[in-house]
Amino acid sequence: MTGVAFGPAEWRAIAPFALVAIGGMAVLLYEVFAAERPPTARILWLSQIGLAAGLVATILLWGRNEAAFGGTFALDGIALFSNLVFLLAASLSLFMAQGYLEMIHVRAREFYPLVLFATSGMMIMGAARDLIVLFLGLEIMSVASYVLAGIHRRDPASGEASLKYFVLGAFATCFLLYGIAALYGATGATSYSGIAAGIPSAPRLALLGGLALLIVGLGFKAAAVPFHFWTPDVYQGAPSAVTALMAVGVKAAAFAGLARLFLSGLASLYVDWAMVVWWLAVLTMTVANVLAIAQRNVKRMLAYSSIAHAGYLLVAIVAGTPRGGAAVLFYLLTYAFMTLGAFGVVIALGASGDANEMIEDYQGLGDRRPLLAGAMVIFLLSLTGIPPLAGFVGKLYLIEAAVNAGYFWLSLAVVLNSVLAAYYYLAVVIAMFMRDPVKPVPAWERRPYLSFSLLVATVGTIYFGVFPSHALDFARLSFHSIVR
Amino acid sequence: MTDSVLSLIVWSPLVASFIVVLLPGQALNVVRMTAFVLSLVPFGLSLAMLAMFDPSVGTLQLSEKVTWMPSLGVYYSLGVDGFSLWLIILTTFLTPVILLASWHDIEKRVKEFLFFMLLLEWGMLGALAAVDLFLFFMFWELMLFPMAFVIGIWGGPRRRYAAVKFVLYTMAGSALMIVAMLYVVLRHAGATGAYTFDVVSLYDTPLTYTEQVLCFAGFALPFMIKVPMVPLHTWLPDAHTEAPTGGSVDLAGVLLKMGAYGFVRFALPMFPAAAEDAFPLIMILGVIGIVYGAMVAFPQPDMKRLVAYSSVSHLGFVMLGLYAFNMAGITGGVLQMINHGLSTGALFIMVGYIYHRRHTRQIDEYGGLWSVVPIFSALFLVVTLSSIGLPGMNGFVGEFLILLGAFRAHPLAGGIGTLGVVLGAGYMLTMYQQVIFGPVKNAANKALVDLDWREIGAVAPIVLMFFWIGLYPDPFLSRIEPTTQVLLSRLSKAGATRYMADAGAGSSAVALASPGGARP
Repeated sequence: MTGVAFGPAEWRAIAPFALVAIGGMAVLLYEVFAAERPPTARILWLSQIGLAAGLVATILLWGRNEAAFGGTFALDGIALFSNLVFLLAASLSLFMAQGYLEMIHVRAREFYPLVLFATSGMMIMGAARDLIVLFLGLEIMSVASYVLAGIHRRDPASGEASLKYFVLGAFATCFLLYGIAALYGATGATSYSGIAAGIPSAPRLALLGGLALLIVGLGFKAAAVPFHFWTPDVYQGAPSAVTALMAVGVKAAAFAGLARLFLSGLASLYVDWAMVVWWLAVLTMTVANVLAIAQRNVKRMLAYSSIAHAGYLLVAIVAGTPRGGAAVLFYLLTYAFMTLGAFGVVIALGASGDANEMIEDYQGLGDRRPLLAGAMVIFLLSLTGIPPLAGFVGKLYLIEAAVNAGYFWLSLAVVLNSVLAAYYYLAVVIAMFMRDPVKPVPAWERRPYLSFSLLVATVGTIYFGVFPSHALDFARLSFHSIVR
Repeated sequence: MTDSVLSLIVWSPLVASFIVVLLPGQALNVVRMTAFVLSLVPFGLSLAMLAMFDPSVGTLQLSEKVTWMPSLGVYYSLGVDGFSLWLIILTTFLTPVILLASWHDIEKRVKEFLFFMLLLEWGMLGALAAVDLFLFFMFWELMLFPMAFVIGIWGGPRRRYAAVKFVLYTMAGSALMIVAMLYVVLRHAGATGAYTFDVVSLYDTPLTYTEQVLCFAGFALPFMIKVPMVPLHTWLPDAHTEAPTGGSVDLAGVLLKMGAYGFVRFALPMFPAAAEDAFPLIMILGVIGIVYGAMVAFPQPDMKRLVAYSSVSHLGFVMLGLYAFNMAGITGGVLQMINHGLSTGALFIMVGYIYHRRHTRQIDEYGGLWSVVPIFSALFLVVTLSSIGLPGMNGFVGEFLILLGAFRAHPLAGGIGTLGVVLGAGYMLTMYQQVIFGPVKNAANKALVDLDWREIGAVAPIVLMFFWIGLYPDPFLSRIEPTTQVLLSRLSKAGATRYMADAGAGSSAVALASPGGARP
């Protein structure tokens, strides 16, 4: 690594995530040095400015396709496109947390900088072209999210979530590190290009061992079955705004990293990992969907649903084509809108001392709060994959990539799983519209930030379903640049 | 207006639905009246479409095509031909009728009900007018949810079960369709380089025989579920029985037709060889449907369930006709879709009227109604006779053509089909006799009030159509036939000739069947 110049390309490459990280530090320092305890709204907006700076940098750099730091760090379509997803997730989670944190009596202000740090970690993962850089991003993101999961200190469930996430996450990190070590030992490189070059002459056993360990490590972060056991407990225990960030941001980061690694660095091992990922995909979606049917807690049900969506995303990875990579990126965008929206509704129903997370709590919502219920229907139908909502186009694109690569049965598994999923999504719709309330629906208090987030999520879910072309084209271009 | 009449027809119900939602909700009759008047707009527009429709052309006309998702090859593409023309008009015709007929049926959440009914109309019209696979699929799924809401919110005691069953059955089918659809699109792109979801372009996709069979299965299964063909019909009795009157009428009138329509629009022309080889399967299932539906309808104690099973039987006829692969059969099948929509729709409305008064549909709760409610009884008689295909009324023309075609294609199938006609008369007249004739056994029926003008007015246009189609079917048939001809020549070009009788003889048969007499 010696002799790497720190030139303009390097500055450009780090600009998006660095600005977000600097924003996080600024928020932290502001809280420390402010004369009196500043109102949360000010902290919120300061954090949003940090995210906006990252967004501006991303937009200004749009269309670039270059590498920095000796080819270990990319500034290309994948990084920029996934930045949008991360920033969206972080921004909406922050907005949704406003008011929610007070309600559950969380006074810890470190929530805001931690979200920003986690986001910058995600952005590093999306740009990594080197296993060490990938690891760096993963750890920045993970450490921040371990703390975030436990930020509700007085709630034992939150503490349990944090501990569970931390212990199992650390365990998975070990797998990842061993995998990196094995690959380094086999190919003599940690950069994707170096690995790709070293594969032909590398010993098979070390290669495959490293590959397997990497799949375990990344599969954990992506919450793929059978590495998913932490997910329901952590998602349910963590405060809902944090869950939203984890379900969207962390997962998107894992998939952005996974897609780039498997489709560029490990592309020549395709025959070796395709079958493994094929089984992972089928297991992940089927197991998660079957388990989700049994859930009575909507938040936990959404946790299983997010596992199932990891399974759908893996399908596009199996395709192993630029089309597949583009499908992953586009799906992450659509998934972000609908999942954030669904968790937003969970937050909206929560009241002080009563989370109202059970499916019975949703009964009668359609009559009492038609707009909120209507938004939830849109998110749930989009998650099911009903046209013309974003989730449908995303899924269509995934299936298309799979069919195009010849995976006919895999695509059939996706669509049949969607039917399975329809059952539990529909259960919520039925509770909202077709059953009488069992207890009074909490009155709507004015929560402008939350309403705004729900509006953004709704508009995004509809917009990218009806007019997906531009985003699709961007996603497609992104992957054509790295996969030859 | 010629170049956008279809768009206007499809989108006006959506606009109407939002207008209805935004109305203040207190004055129920104002809301109902607004919805009713607004639902006349698409009907008026569809009559304008009928006037613009060129009867001599068999291919798609009044087409609109705008690029929608260029990177996926998806177009906003609409068109109408002889197959969809009358179904579109039936849809726009039935919606105001339903709104009028179920005026007082719904007393809670009225605005939402009207909203969903108009949304449903939007979905159905879109699915009928779409000639882009993506667009079709979108509307196909879109019409599912308003219907599920209508069943699930305003339905009977088992409404949630029925709604979920309805959604899951349909989704399971469409899941397969989507894979088959993508496969065809990708094969087409591979062969021609052009990425497109346009149906007409996809007709000529080169597929091997195995691919055809698999893709045909992917398309045929959802359509068979929707028709519904035995043994995929079990969702229908539940959905029909639980749905409120308005939902039942739309379900029977239009939604079921989507399945049969899907065959003539997509499954048959896209995969002719596989479609042809499915002949024994469809014929057998169709015949089983006719007989089984009729047999199960016989002992039903619930009027609505009886009518629901009669639908299974009647739709079996439609499939028998379509799969005869000749002029008389297909034309009769398409006409019978309209007839069934009118007759069964009217039957559900009549059952709804009596249910609204007594809150029961059990046949043995009634008896001797003629002396109490003569107008209802007389109208019910007309509707019943139309349903069993009395000559001079609509059902006869359709069934006659279908049986004519079926006999030519496969005499045994035609023969068993004829048995269905007899059975149909049997269970319908038995029900009628038990409900209407005899002494008034049940004291609760003595005080029944006869139909009022609104109720008569809702059914009267349908009765008018019974006789029009029955006595002078030529305007209908002459617009369907050219499209049938196009489909037949496409099938024979693709080599699907094994079961085809000669098409020329078919036309003369049509002339024979129309009591209106001479054809131009």
